[in-house]
Amino acid sequence: MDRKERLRAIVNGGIFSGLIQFLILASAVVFVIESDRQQLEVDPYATHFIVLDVAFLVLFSIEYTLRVYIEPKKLDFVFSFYGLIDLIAILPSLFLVPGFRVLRILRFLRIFRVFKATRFILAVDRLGAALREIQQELLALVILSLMFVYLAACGIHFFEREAQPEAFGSILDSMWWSVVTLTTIGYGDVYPTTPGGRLFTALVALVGVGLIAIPSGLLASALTEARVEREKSEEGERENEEQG
Amino acid sequence: MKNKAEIIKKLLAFIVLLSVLVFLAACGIHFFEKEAQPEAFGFLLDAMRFTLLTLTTIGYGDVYPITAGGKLLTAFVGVSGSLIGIAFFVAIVSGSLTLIKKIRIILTKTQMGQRRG
Repeated sequence: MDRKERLRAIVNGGIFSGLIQFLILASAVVFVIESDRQQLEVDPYATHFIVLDVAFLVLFSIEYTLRVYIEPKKLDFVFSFYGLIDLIAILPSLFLVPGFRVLRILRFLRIFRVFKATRFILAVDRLGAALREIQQELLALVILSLMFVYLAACGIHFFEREAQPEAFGSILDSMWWSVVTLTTIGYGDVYPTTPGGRLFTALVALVGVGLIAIPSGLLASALTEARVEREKSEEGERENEEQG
Repeated sequence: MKNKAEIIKKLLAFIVLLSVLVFLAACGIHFFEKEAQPEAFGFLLDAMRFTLLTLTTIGYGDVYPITAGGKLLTAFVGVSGSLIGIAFFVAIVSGSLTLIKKIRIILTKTQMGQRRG
């Protein structure tokens, strides 16, 4: 029992979790480099990557076993949010079959463990609270935006389908254009060429961009409100303490 | 001082979250497009560059997805990512600006009060 408690102190301590965060980042870097080498016909370092992969698997498995071992309620941990993420993170590597190797990106979900650190909990909580507060408005805006994307696609399809059948021939193809335009990304892979289509695009851009920019205003006010309310409640508590 | 630290914390949390999402989105685009356009999306760092250009709505258009899956994912990332991502950033910065203004008003008020007293 004594040894278990000492182990728990180490695993929950800062050095251990810092080491694990470093390992997760390192595995992400290896993943990025490996993606470049997949282009090669023959990779002289192929075995190195397999060895690294197995090493990461072993280290993360050891960590997972430790975390389950020190937990008093083992089942509760295994089925908790972070427990499930940890499990999902090791499972894909167990199958070294090519098809499953893609699933290794799930490993980086574990970086969310950062948010378990106490200094982040408050900030994330407040962001979540602000989002929850405006979820009705956001939902309405999402529906409105989807309708707008659809209508814009229908309009441009009508104007451009004859001039550019390969880019605007179907509503679905036109929707790719309308999403890229309305978000102001504008890759420029497809664009209108007929006068009618250009006029329509100008109108859609002027109206649509305004519509799509509303969420940032909503969120800004919700976040400020959440902060003001918390300050008020903190002030109230302080006054209560002074009176008591 | 407490508020300043809090804003930095919030921005840090936001940056960590955003970089994880950028990485995951880049992995997704890489997965869909690497066979169709190996020179543009074969390397994960290139895919990450594309994701960032999309999220910031810069969209140079030197590379863009051509497969149906890549287009669908890009549309989703572009809408949710750029809107929510930029919204959060604007919200945090503007929220802290409002707060700083409020603190300054309170400070001048108390100073005037002290002078009168």
